[in-house]
Amino acid sequence: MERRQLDSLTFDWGAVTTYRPGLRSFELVARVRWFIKMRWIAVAACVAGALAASIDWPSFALSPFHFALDAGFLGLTNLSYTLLSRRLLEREDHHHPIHTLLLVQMFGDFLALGFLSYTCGTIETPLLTLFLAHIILATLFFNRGIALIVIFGAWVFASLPLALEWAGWIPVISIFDSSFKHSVVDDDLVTGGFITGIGSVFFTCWYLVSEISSSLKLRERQLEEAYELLVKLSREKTQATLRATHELKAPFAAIKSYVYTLRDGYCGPLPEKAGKVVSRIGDRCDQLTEKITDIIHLGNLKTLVVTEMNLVPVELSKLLFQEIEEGALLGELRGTVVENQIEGERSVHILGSAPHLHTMFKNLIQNAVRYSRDQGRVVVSMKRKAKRVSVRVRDQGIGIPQENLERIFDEHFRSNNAVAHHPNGTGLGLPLVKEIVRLHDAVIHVKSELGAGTHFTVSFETIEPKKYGGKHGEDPHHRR
Amino acid sequence: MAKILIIDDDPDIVDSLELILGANGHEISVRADTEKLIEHVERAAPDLIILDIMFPEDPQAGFTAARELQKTEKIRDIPVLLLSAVNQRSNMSFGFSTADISDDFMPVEAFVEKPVEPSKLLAQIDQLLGSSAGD
Repeated sequence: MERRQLDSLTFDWGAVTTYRPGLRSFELVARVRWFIKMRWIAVAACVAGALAASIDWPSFALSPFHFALDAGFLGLTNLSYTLLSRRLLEREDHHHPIHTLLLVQMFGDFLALGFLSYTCGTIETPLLTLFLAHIILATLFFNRGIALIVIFGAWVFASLPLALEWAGWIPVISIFDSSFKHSVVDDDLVTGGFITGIGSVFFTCWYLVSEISSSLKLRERQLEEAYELLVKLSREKTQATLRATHELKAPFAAIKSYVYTLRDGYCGPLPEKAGKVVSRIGDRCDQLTEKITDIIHLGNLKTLVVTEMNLVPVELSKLLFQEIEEGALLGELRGTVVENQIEGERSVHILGSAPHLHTMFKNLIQNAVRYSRDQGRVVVSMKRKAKRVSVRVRDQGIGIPQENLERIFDEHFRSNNAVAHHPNGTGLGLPLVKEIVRLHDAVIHVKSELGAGTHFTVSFETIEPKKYGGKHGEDPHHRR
Repeated sequence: MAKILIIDDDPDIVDSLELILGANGHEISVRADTEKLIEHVERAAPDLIILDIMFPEDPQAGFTAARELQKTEKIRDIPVLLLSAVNQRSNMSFGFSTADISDDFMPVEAFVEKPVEPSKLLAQIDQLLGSSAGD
């Protein structure tokens, strides 16, 4: 997704604002490719037909020259379609040229099919049914008028050999050398019946497919409208949250700025007691700012669904190293060692959102530090098993009372021993973790023993980053 | 010492910045919005601009202003320090950080989060003025 398109007045780097080419356009390109592939198979079949026809078969007679001619024609046209489509697909707006190319291909195919059908005895082989694939495609991708012209063209090319044989303008070919073919072209009514029959099948097919296609187009339009509405709502939500964040944080930023100026003596020297009060004001200001940030984060996360997440391949160990480093800095201040035990597990990728994962592990690691006792030890480890990877954060801290374990992910819940140990927590860290776990389709386990410590284990499904084509270990939308 | 232009709608932030920068000998001028900014900057010719991102009239006015400054030949070399309370940590979906600085998105020389420690702000300003003088 390209997020840096800020020429509009919106903060539009949400997952749902990605430009997606229309499904129809995507299908059109896929079908053009499919037809090119099928045509190469047809070329191979014609070459095989030419070889087979050179053998003297007892029950039927085929012309190797006709097959070779068809193979040559199809091969040359297909080569030009291949080169042309590649060039057209390089263009940003390739929908209309590809559309025209598909139309040209269809009429080229009609000519080749008509000729092949004639050389194979027209009504003696089921080759005419190959026209149906083109008819269905034309009805799906072109408007009704153009599709009708295509169907009419198909009917002309499919019927022309029989009509010309009937008129005596071209020799009658019967690969089985049967009297049936001759009796058909000799009889006006039967020939007419066959030609009308071919037309009936083609036009019935056009009618049925165009009816279904119209209904699908209507649904597609409704889906597009719903999608646009979602994008609009997402933008509005983003802007509203941004405003709320700003409105709530800005006053505290101003207060804290004054605290800094007072603390650093820009307004003259402060008496010792006043300095302490100013320092407390600053601390409470930080706590409130942190709480506001967490409330807004949580509010945002709770409104998100997995499909709205812009998940990309993330190298887990790289991300964890950063959070372990930050946790270690906090640990140094509190006399707690944060041990990194993920050295041997490099290059493990998961599908995730790096900023959200950072928040998750920051909370888990820093919680482990905060609820450790002096000289405590926090260990972060990672284990890969089959297609899953588990990250474990272990501490030897105060632990969680068993009766509170079920409530630790509830908003604002804090166990009594947690409040006593670290009075200024927001009670929103683990609810944030829970939401991020949900949005990553991950699983979190917690094991704790009061007074002995807590283990949090988060497990994710691993992925092969090559399949996703993105830069490994980096969320292109949120570099750090 | 340098001429510094502060563009911020929050009078308290401006006040505290003036206290800090003034005490360090800088000459301060202030604007509360980004209207007719280019003309003002051309006239005032500051050595450095401290720019807020969100203004009441437009939540992206700071970005727009930074891009306009960048586009204007005569003043594009004046270093811009972006200042915002909405940073990456405050909101994961649309926060900003130093990593977001780029010519097309955030064409500024540095980004700092509000509130900023005076010592960090002064060090950042010294660095910008130093590198600007060296250009």
